[in-house]
Amino acid sequence: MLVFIAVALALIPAIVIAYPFLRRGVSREWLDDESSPMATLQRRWNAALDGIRSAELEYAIGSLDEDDYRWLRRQYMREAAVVMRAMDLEQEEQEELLTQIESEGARVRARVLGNERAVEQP
Amino acid sequence: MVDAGQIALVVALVVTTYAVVASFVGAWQRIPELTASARYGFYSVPPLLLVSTSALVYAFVTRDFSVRYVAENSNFAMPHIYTWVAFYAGNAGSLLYLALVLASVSAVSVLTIRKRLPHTTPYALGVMALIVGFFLAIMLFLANPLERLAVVPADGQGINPLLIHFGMFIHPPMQMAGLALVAVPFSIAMGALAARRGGRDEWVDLGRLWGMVSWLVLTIGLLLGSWWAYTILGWGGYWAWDPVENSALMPWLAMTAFVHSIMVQKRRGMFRMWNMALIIVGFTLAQMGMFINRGGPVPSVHSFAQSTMGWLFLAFMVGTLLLSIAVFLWRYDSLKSRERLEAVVSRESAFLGQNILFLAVAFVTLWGTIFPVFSEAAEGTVITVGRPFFDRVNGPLLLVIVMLMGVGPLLPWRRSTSRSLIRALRAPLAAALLTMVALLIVGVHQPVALVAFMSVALAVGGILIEWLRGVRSRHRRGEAYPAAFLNLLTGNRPRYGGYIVHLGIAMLAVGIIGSSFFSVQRDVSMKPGDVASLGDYTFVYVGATHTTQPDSAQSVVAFDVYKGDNFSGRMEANRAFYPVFRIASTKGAIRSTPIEDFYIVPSEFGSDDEAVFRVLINPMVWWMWASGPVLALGIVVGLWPARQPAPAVVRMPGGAQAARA
Repeated sequence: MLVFIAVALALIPAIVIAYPFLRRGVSREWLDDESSPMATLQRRWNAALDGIRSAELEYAIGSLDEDDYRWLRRQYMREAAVVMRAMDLEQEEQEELLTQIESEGARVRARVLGNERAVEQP
Repeated sequence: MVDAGQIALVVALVVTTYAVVASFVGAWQRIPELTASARYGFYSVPPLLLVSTSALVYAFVTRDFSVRYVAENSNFAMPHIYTWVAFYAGNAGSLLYLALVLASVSAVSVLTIRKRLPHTTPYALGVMALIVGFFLAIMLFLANPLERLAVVPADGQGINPLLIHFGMFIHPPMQMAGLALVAVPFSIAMGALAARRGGRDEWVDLGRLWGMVSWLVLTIGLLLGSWWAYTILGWGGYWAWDPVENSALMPWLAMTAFVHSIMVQKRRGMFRMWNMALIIVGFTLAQMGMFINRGGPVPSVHSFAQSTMGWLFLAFMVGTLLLSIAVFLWRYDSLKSRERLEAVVSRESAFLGQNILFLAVAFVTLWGTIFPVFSEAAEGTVITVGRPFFDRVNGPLLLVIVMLMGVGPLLPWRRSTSRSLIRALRAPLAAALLTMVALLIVGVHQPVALVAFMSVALAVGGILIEWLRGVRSRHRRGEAYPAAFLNLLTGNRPRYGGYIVHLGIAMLAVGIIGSSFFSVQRDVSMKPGDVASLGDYTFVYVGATHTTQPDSAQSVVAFDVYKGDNFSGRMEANRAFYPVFRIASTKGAIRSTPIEDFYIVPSEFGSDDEAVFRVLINPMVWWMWASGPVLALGIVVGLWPARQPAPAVVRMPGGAQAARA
């Protein structure tokens, strides 16, 4: 009985350990490069978008002075522009992304202030 | 069943060893089949450890005293419900618990990271498997929880009576799990460094997620430990700067610093080295906690898993620290920040300042904890560092941290002009000043206490005012107030989750400040029928009831308590003596309200039920225990995944496609 338990307990890990050597497709696992330049740009893009969201929110609830808000927005837009240039995007794709940033800002303002006041904000 | 558990332990160690070797070799030589094999093998370790755990639990339930660990930690008198506590009450069982928790959470964490961090995962898994393997090796070679006895005793020794408390069902497992879970973000960080493709910002999101999980578990463990000490150790306090308490606090401080500063790396690509250093420090301090708890050089009331193998934990701690430093130095170049601090007044600076303060508290605590060892080595006499040292040095530092908790979230990222600063701070400062005036009116005149309460008011004021503004704006749009509040919160979960956590910390601070500055106590000798008073309370000693249990002698004392002229109720405190352990366990009688706790604990019994009682009024302690659920709620809100809109697919150069949220 003990031998049977020992074999059973050892067999299951042995099978799962052997499985990757027996099936196909494992070698594709590393195709995605987490630190590729494009992945890095993606992260920087998201960080710039987060920055704009945060500046919009803080401005909308009155924690941020207008000068600081404009300065911060400019900085993040500049960062986004750098990322776009580095991505070497077509003009229309750049415009699409810039529209995306604008709509993101408007969305945050609308969430805090309501639709009517949100459109009045710079 | 016990034999199956033994076999499962052996197989788990073999598989874990394979996972370590296959992960590192597979990653280094870029053999995907080998790393996948290591990963699958590692997934089978938790079920194997579950078999061993089930075997041990079965031995407890069937009172199989042929198993040494069962004989040492239970007896026939122990209620079955305490089987769970007995499982981790001693060194060997707690090691099995640690291995099970760490292997399970590590396997889950690998599942969460493997798609997003394909190059990091094999190295991270290798580190996790190495740590799990360490626990398994110690168990199998030095402290086997399933070891058989040559002679089976008729009854066991029983469970340590100090562990017979509701808090013990959750506190030790949470505390141990918290210390173990620090290994997960540490492994992810080390994996990212070792992967040669990582080390910059790739690991940040998942490192932060697992950092917050371990922080929450550590926090709940610390709170429950304080609650246990408050209700059962019978001295009326909850924190004594005891070595084991300190050893749990130190990694908590480092992890608190980490979960904040990792935000700066995510947002700005800064603090890369700092975050790596913090997680290494956090992991090392967690190892230090295990070392102190398991045969460390300084004794503690909390050490239930004492053993003679402390040196092994110390060696493991030093070994992992040296390895981490070596990997850090090897990958030093990849850790340079992308950007620099742009202004002194900014959220980044506040995070940095707060980080330094947290580390300062951690190192003061470390120094105070290990000072007796140095004093003994240097002068031959053990000089213990007491509470006054910790209170005097750490108290002001913690006060500044609370202040920064109020100011930091109000500062914008990158820079803040004086106008923005004033705009953000004027309402919270007004709240702080109003608090001071209110406290002065009710008679609070201690300057430090006033500053402490003002700091809390500043933090709470900042959060509530921001919420109020947001909710009012949404209400003007036509939403009802509750809906406006919920929509605001769900619209930016990480931000408001963080605020909820800060509210929880403010509650904790209120409890600590209230009880530290305004606690009063009195030791009084009473006979049945005697009346005494403390503050507004009058209490009548009704009498004592003595009973003999199979494992202990119990005394229950009853008091009728009045506040002013109103009868508050009958309170009962319990004192039990366990002859086998030569331990007396005292459960205080506590009447707890948000304003204050009235606490009675018997300290000595004389003839004719005459007894000496310690009576305390501890203001605001209730807020400490109430902060636990608030902290947990904040973390859950902060980590709850947001509903993402369908990603727009944009063509990237070279024909590749990337999805953008």
